[in-house]
Amino acid sequence: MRGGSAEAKSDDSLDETELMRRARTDRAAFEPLYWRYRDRVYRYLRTRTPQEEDAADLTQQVFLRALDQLHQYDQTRGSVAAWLFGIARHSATDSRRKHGRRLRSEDGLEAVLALAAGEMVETEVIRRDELRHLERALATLSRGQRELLALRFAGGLTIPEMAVVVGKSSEATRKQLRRTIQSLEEHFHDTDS
Amino acid sequence: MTRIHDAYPDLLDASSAEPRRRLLTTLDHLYCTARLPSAVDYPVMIAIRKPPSIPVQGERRSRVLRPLNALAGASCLLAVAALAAVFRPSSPAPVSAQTILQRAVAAAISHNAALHVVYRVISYASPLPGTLPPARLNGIERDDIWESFDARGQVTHWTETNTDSSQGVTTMVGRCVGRAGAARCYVYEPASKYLKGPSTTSETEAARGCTQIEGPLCNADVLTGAGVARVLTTLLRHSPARVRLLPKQRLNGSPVYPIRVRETDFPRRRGPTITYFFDADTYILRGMAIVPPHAPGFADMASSFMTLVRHQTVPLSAVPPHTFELNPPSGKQVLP
Repeated sequence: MRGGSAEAKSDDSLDETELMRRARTDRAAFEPLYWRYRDRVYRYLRTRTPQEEDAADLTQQVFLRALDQLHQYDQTRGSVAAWLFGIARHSATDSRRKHGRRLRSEDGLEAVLALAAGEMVETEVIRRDELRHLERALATLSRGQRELLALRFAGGLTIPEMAVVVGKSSEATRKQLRRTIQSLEEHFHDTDS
Repeated sequence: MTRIHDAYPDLLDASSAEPRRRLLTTLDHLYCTARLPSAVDYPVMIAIRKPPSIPVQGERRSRVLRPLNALAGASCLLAVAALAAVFRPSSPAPVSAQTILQRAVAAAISHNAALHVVYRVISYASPLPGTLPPARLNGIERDDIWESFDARGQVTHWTETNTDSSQGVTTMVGRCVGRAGAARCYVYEPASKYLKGPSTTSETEAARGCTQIEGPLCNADVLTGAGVARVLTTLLRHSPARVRLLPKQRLNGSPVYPIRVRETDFPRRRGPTITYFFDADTYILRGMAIVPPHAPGFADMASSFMTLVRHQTVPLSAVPPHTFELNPPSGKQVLP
């Protein structure tokens, strides 16, 4: 479920809105949403924290916080995904503030790259090389651009959902994402060749 | 159209060139490889599902630090003396796993009294991360523990009774009673009326049997907060990287400190992850989650989640008769 067909997305949105409505009086209705988003939120938070365990703990906090704030969800302001990732983004920022500047890396991308490389089987040499090229290309992006990539790829958010999370218009977000991909493409294939 | 086309229709279409497709494939692999460890699910599931309202019965909320005796030796006395300065109702958040564990040990000491602790354990067959519905329910277990303390705060007797049930029917009862460094145990299957035991095991023999499995899963005293804390304290000293204090959270409505332990020395040197949840005020053990690793060969290992149901300290005179006697049921004996 990553920004797929408009029709499927529409069905899911109705389903999720109804689940959220029911969850206000019966928390058990939230469970399908937890299973639907747990990995996506975790993957996003992995890009925001340097350690796997920090991301796992933050993921737990995000959903516990979401359960405490069910009554605050307003469907007119955005989808359930946008709401959840808004909580995730704030949680990551709060966590970073609490830990101060002792974090070596700005975000968790180093660890994510290491994991992605480590998960490859030995025969996937080409893919491993591509990851290395990608790492160099990603280093040319700003933190905001990397955030957009994390929301789109790790979080699987649509453009409108990303716009709600980052607090910009859909059009501005779409343009920024496209420029980011183009810039990445240029650097990716420059280092590739 | 490939999976990548379906996943990213806003960034890729049928006319997109190969370099774009390769870039998105690589980005997809980069960002979408990780999977959330199952151990995270437990506290969230507790908060979502809110198990049947079983309030913890007889829980003592006293925060008075009882005087220690020579149970843990001079070094522990010094540690507790230091702790006494901070062990007060409005004490600031502890800063380390060691502090939590020391408080758990200190808070559990009783004199001329008995501790009765009951846990409810739910186990799921095989960890299936990210699936909906979650893994099949394996069974429900009740873990019923008694410990008696003498005037010096020493444990003189203990019992632990595990009752397994499935769909409301008791499938197995395992019981041990211990005193003077030895334990007698039996296992009984009501359906077949097979009785295994009673057998006698010394603490030394029990410890030897657990050499392959280091850590609290095997070596714990009776499964109370203090018992677990004593073992974790030792583990923290020898293998600090395996013990980690996690951020304070809520479990079944109560604030808790989770301490996560990575087991080791299973075959292939991978083991389960166990998270112990110590009450943030009383330091009793409120819960435990055991989740096997996501690795080939472990797919058939169960996940278990334990929740405190009763925690009560009573005078020795109030302990029900025969509590510390084994009393095995009559049944067809099988070889131990």
